[in-house]
Amino acid sequence: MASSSSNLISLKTSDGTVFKVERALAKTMKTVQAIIEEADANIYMIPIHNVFSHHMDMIIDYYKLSVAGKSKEFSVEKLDNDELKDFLLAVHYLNMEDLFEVLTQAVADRLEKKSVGYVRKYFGIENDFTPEEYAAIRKKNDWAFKGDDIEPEEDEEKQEE
Amino acid sequence: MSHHKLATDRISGLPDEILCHILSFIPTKQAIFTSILSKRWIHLWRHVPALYFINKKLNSSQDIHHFNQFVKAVLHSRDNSLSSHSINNLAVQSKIQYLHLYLHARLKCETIPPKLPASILSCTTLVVLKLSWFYVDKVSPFPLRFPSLKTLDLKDMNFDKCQDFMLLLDGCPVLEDLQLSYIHFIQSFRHFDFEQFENSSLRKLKRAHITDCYFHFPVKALANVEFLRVELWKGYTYLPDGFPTFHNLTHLAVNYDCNLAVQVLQHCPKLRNLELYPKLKYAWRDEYITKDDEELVPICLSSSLTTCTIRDFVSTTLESLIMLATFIMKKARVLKTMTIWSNRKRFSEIESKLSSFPRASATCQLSFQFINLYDT
Repeated sequence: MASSSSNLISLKTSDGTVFKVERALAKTMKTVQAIIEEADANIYMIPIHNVFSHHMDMIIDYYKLSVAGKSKEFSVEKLDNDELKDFLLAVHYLNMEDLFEVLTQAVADRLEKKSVGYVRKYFGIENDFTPEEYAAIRKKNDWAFKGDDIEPEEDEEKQEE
Repeated sequence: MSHHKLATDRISGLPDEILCHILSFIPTKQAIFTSILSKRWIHLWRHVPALYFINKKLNSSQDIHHFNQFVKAVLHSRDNSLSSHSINNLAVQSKIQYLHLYLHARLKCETIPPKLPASILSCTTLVVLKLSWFYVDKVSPFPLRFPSLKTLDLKDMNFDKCQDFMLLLDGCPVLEDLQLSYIHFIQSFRHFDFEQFENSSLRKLKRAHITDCYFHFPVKALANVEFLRVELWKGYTYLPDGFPTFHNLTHLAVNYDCNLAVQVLQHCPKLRNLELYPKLKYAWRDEYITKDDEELVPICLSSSLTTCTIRDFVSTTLESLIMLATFIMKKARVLKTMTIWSNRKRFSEIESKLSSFPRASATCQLSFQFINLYDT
């Protein structure tokens, strides 16, 4: 049972699991904090939509590491791209600044230095350009594409089709 | 195998603002490539409030010119309504918050760094500014130059006069993180030229990292920092009076000789972590702790210091290192770890002297890390 005077806040994830978390952790979730502040004194349970229990597990891991000054040890390497995307959305929903930065950096790291063809395949982005449109946009931004090691790989595009 | 449909667009399922945020961590050149991913991505890179240029291959002034042209083209294409090709005003119009401009000229001693575009200095929306290898000529007095700037990282920068550099710092009232290395001034200066900037309001500064800067940086302006890494050098005649009391300082990394280290500690009453690393090649000869008064024992040693690291170097004498380590171990009442970085050869002598030395703190652990003494 949680009341506003205790140190624990109850959060209910989308899959129905209830987590009792320290007030300090709840404070890092600006969305939750706003709910607490707006509600009256006797809020027992805060539902957090779009957040699943496996997200909460990772959030708690991150929180414990950062309290111990070891936030750099937190890793999302084991997550595949879908899982990372979902986690990023959950953290974005909860409005958790630090963890959000960590996750966007993680996604950026997965994208950096990869060719466009690779990025498209890896993240499953559908090319909705017609060949003419594609040629036009390539030509328009040609000044940016020349003379560098990250050459957009057209060959991969052609193989897909 | 994922149960999602093959055509699922995983990353594009994120809202625009998140995608822009992700792109802000990627070098601008690559961010522009995303414009050909799909229709949705055509214009996304333009809304990224960050410009991030890292070019590691500048071998000639022609390369530098080419790079400048690239920067201009990026700024220009972000705002098509401007017909002018001038780099002036473009940075300001783009409402840029994060700007990283890192150039690496391969033969630095033979090339002159390019002049920093003036528009960068009038980009008032900047929150993070990181520059490497530029020449800055005149900086006009402009108190609210960077009203939102929180992080400033300057490396390999040439300023015309020291006043220009100080005026730049003066224009950053909310600065929290400052990193300076290899800052040079074209015109000669005297040490008191910096004194007028000692009351410079870097009041919100939390972290300062100042290395390879052979001038009298106004240390008093750093009085509120929590983390300080600073390299003292031979011509630095400011100790002890030139140092303020660092009321918030919990982590200090400084080069040492014994006496100097103790003097600096006097100014750090709340210090928890201390890193002592090798002195510069232009440093003083070894000086030893001369007095062992209770009066001279810095407050942080008796009440707050919990970790200490001392790094050995090829020109450090064992005697001075051991003296410093034993002084700290003798006085530091709440010390938890004393770590010595040295090579295996010197390790045994250091260990034999230190491990049996009486420690003021019952919980103090001694540990060693092995390094090459020639590494700085």
